[in-house]
Amino acid sequence: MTPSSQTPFAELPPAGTAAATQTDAVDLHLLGQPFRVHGDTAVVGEVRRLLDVFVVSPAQPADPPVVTVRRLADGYAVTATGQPDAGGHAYNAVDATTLVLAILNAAALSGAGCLAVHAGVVARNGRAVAFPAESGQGKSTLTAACLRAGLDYVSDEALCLDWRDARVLPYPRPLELSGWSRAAVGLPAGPCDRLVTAEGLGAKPARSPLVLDHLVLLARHADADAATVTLEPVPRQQGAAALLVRSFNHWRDPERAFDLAHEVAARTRVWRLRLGDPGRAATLLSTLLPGAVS
Amino acid sequence: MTAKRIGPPPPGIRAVELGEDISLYNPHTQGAALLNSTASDVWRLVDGEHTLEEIVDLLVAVYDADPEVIRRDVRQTIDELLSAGFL
Repeated sequence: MTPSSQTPFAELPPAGTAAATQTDAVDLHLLGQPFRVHGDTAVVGEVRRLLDVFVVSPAQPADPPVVTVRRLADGYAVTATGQPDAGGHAYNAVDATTLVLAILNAAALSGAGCLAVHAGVVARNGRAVAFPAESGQGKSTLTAACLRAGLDYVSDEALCLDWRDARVLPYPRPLELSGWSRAAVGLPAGPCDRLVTAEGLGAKPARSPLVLDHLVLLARHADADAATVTLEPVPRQQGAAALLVRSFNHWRDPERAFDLAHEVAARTRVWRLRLGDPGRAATLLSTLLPGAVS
Repeated sequence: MTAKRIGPPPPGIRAVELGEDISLYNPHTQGAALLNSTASDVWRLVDGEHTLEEIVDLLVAVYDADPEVIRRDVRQTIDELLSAGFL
């Protein structure tokens, strides 16, 4: 996630207002790790809203990693435990919030006690489908479209597989959607969030336990709006390869990562989805999971 | 002079079959290789029991392809496996 100065996604007060002088804190639990965000009440409040599903009571270890938001004369400064101060760089409130979430996301994935694979993941009735992909391949848009189609949200960022038994661990961070993506999934016109919660898309976070049934490799149509969307089976080894290539942290235990990727690929069905219109693709993926409405 | 037999793989090399394809992991280098079905057939024969010519002859009998092409592919596959430490 990168901050952008063009993101009109919330009615946060600018620095220098009375509201911005107050401080607040929120404790979070992300992928089994404690974090605290502390500082300006408006930004912390927005972080709390966006990360509501990760909020815990402040009974965590005494010294969790902390992200601090300080109000400056001309904006907000964001610093994190163990990271060098960026020299008091001033962000607007929207960008400060986005940066806080980016810091938390990077830290959560870096320290996650699971094999974390860059992927979108959705589910229904405890069964999940994941589409590993690098940034820009359309996984967040497809994830959002799947939520619009009635599937539950697992993540638009990471497929998190328990190192021991490959259970899927939900990581329902806010979806990061571009303007094109928002339009593609029918979000209302006008100023709207770049960061969108599952609830904002009319969906709900998936609950554990989750079992991965399908791995879907994304291939783009030349025409992004193409009406024809196809799904074809491919050799399972391609699924294992995608899990390893897209993993954030296989280096933590390469041999176990190799085994886990192959265990997962051996018991899932692996597909290639030629992705055109995201809504049609989501409808097609929805049929893979039990409980589909025919 | 006796022709050199190819293989077997050094101890610790892991091989996992998914359908017709074999994936390899080398714990010494922490490297992985995902073999296509043809390379997987070569891997199944580099067991220390066969020479290069014997491997080529066995695959020529199975594949409907030019023996010279098969010879070249087998040699290339074995070279790659050797350089990656899988043999």
